[in-house]
Amino acid sequence: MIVRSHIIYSRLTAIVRELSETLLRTARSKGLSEARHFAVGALTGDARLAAQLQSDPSHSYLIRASVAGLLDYFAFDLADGDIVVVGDPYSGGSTPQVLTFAAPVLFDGEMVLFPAIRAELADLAGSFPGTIHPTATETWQESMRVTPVRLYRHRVLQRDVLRFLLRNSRAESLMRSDIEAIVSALRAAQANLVALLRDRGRAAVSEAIAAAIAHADRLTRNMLARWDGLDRSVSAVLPYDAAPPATINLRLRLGNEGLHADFAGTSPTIDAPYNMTLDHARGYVLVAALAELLDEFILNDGVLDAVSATAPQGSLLDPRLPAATGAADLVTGHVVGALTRQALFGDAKAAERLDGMGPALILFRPIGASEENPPYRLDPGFPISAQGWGAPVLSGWKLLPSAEILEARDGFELLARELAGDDGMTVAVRNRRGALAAAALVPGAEAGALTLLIDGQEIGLSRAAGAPVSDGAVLRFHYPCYVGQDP
Amino acid sequence: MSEWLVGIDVGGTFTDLVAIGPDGAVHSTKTPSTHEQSEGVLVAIRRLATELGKPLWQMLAELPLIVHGTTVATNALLQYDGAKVGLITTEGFRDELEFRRSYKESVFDPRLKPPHAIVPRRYRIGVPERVTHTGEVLTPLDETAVREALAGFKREGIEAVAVCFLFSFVNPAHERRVAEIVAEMMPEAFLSLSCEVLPEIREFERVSTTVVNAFVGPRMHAYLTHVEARLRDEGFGGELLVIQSNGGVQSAQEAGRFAVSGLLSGPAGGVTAGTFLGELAGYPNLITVDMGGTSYDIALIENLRPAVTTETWIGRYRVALPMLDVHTIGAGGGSIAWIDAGGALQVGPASAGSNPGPACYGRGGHKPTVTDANVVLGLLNPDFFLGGEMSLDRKAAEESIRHEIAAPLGMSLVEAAVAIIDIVNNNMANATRLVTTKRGHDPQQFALVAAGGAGALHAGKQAEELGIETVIVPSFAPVFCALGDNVADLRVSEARTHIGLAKAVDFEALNDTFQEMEARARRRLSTQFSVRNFEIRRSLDLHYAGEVHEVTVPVRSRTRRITRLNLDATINDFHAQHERLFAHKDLAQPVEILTLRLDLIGVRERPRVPAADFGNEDPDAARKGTRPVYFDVEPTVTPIYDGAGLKPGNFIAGPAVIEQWGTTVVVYPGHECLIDAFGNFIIEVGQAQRTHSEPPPG
Repeated sequence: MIVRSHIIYSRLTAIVRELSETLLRTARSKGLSEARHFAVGALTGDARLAAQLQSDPSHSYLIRASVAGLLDYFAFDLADGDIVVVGDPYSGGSTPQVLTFAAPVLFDGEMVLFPAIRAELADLAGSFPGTIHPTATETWQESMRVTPVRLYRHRVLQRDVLRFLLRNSRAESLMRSDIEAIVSALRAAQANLVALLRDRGRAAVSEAIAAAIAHADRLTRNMLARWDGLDRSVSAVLPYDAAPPATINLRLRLGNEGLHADFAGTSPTIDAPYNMTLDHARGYVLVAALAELLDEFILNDGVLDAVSATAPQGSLLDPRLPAATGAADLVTGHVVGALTRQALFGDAKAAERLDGMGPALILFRPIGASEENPPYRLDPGFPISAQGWGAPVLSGWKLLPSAEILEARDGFELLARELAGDDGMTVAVRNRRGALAAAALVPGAEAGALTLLIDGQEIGLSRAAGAPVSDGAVLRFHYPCYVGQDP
Repeated sequence: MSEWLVGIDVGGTFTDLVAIGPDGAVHSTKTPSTHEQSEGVLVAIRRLATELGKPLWQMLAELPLIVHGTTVATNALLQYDGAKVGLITTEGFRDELEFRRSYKESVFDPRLKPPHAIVPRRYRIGVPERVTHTGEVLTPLDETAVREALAGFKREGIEAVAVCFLFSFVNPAHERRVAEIVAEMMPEAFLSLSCEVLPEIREFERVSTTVVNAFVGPRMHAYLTHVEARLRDEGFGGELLVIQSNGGVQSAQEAGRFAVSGLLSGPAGGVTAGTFLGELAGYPNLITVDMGGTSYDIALIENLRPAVTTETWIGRYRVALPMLDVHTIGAGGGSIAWIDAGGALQVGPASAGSNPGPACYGRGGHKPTVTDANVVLGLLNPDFFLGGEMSLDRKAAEESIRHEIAAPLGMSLVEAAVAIIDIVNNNMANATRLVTTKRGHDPQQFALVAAGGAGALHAGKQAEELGIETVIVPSFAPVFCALGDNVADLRVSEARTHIGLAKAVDFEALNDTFQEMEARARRRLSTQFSVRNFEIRRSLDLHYAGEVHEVTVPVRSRTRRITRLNLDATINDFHAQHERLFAHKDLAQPVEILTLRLDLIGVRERPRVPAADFGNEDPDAARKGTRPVYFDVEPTVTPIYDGAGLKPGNFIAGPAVIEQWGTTVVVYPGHECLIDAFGNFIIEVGQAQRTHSEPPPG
């Protein structure tokens, strides 16, 4: 039985890996194909996470939470061939413009499994194209809220729903392609899951998932056991220049129920896009605590359930509508992750750091210049991790764009990209794409710098919202180096 | 075929030789590999000569060519035993090699160490120069800076110089000028220019491939020079060819210059042999698997054409040349069975290797392996390992499995051994499924070719799991790669970046570029072994504008010139291929061309292996006896056959075990095996054995 379950579960995980690979290869927007802002998973009919793949911590709990929200909303009104969608920080989500697509798999008339994809789409309304609005104070400035909707009913596209989504995007063509890629990948996964159920039987598949979850639970608790008796409180101030300072307090305890992150005493919601939903923050705690383990097997409920989190309602880490959350991954997640490592490893062990904020930039044509105004995420470098090479773990894995592709196809001339000694990485890019505008965020001096050089003048872009970037202007990025830096 | 063909493949453990005589008779030898690989090569040829009753010099004098597969380049890279390399690159871009496009093998694990720097930062020098993407010189090459860099390299004892400038694939003038200066200042240095090694867009992929070429080149060049000299000293007057990762062969001289092309020469030989076998046995669609001691290599052959990829990492280094797409996982006879912290049984990827090896080798290894499980289950005969040259310790195998697996998991010895085999079979089947589905295929459409020492032990179970109906165990399974060396064509692969939307393509420029590529390919082949027939294959790397990955699509044209009609047909093929691969096509989206590819193939005459007449179906003459074999937890008394005694036409109904030197073929219950006219074992698995399509229990 043990071996049979092992074999069945490994086939299920192969289906999830294929789902991820297919989306990566067919997505057109840079947010998916290069920045890999997506996660894929398979869930059971009662929204237990059977297997999930992700390239960054942000999605850890959110596919499960979003699918649970969809299940609640549609209750028993889901049928074979349906695809349902949700994308709302306040319906199991995190940052705006990230939608979760789920496709129920019915077998013998019952809902058994869900392949699901959680993906950041190129643009979904809001004040600026793309996903960065550094001065947003409420969620609608960042994006429209996509509460649960049905995109396909019995395999029939609900054109009104799709049209509604596309008409609210400045990147309609990119959005359409990405949604088609997502739907195709889900359909293929659905077929593979049906084949698995047919070949192995529903009961055996359920047993295999249960066994895999139990196995992951044992592995996770075994790893957490090294912090037996842990009960430590730590605190940090967000890199946010308004008064009063926004503080995150974390008391991390390891008990019989697992690792618990208690954010009591954390500041209330702030008028900036740094607010973070609780499950979103919990994902950063999980990855920070279990990073050494996470590449050894695929994520499932056995891992997720080993970490819990609480925060005061209406706080920075459990915000109330309409608080903005768009920069949570760029800023707040890193702070939560750093605090978690600090609590686990005690007094500042610089080399144990996994966080590492850096500059973020999205370019677009000046607002109002055209109907289609697809955002361009320009992310030509990365901070150097505390481990001395590569990007910090909490930044996730992004594909660094090729200088030659940037110049030959995208209209950006990369002038230099080099290590700056012990000072991180510097990148200089000349805009050859015509007149553009920038939405940028550099959360504090420790996160590096982003400057614009126009006609010999140097302009800081640390919180730029629509700043003009003329043709020929040079953007200079400085990504910090976290080696030897205490949190 | 009027002359001898000889292929020699040097692997980690053995040096294999396959020789096909003018009469089509096939001879093979297997000798232990030697640290100095040329020694093993000569020993293998000497053994062949002895078998044929000839002195070595006469044997060598009769050979018009020798095709060689070698691990020299691979070993140099994986053991960091390459040359001391200096890199000259565009100022401001010397760290691209280290950035690796931010790729890490583990997404989250902070303990992952960086790869060994085959060019430390102090030997990576940026010099002022810049060419635009259209080929205009924006900043002239600063020759003083180049000379300063080279002077520094000389002082530091640099052996190989790699040069990679931005957009050198559009305008290589600066790289070529650096080559002239290197020739002047460091004439002894090995030179690797990116415009020659990989003239394609994407600087990391290009610089990495160029640097790897520089790192392994001097070792490969020295080895090939040495082995050729030794062969000539002994009387060889023919041409030495080397098998490449793209499945073709090149002259030793070219292989030395472009050593990076030979990094996967061993597995490439196996895939090429698979193609030959498919042609011979009438199976155009094949999955070849090669299971040895530590790894399991999988490759796909569709319509007798092996799948090719440009997405290879070897060790931790990116090599973006077109190579046969050989997917490797850590599953072999030496794979260790272990229990993880969560109490689950795992097999591999760690391997006991050959020393100490599995517990049953009796060399001090105590960890249970796949080979130990096969011995316990009776699938492997401990007294007939390597044809009896080595005996295995069954008791040691039992003890290790009992102690390490059975007792902790509360299983019987046999249950534990069955579980080990089930898991390794499942790991291999999953990997095989991934290889086929990644290319948009169903494994059921393919026949499975099982090579390597352990391949035929497990192939029947793989086939059942994957729904494959036919397994082919080649008669030369233990020396399969060397067989491939004999049948590989000469091949030069050229690529040029040519970015543009397909609907707005400049046909004159497109055709000019293809003609220039063909001319260069012909120049590269003209120095090599004479061939009569040339075949040209052109293809385009295409994607929907915005996609990061491309799909390589053969050009639909029967003539040298590509017309709008040809291109439109090719674009239609792209849509179809995209849909097959990704279940998705978008006819409304603009299609972009990124790279032009051309393969010039010098078609070698195929050996004519004589087909034997079918004889009696009865295999009893080869029957050695019976023994209990555990196909499950209960034993089955199973007939054992001597593979060497089986004749074409013999038919064996499973269960049965066929033992021959170097490999054991298991015919599982319900399977049927026929010996074909070439001595291959054709195993029919049959519909009834597809466990995956059985109704669920209960």
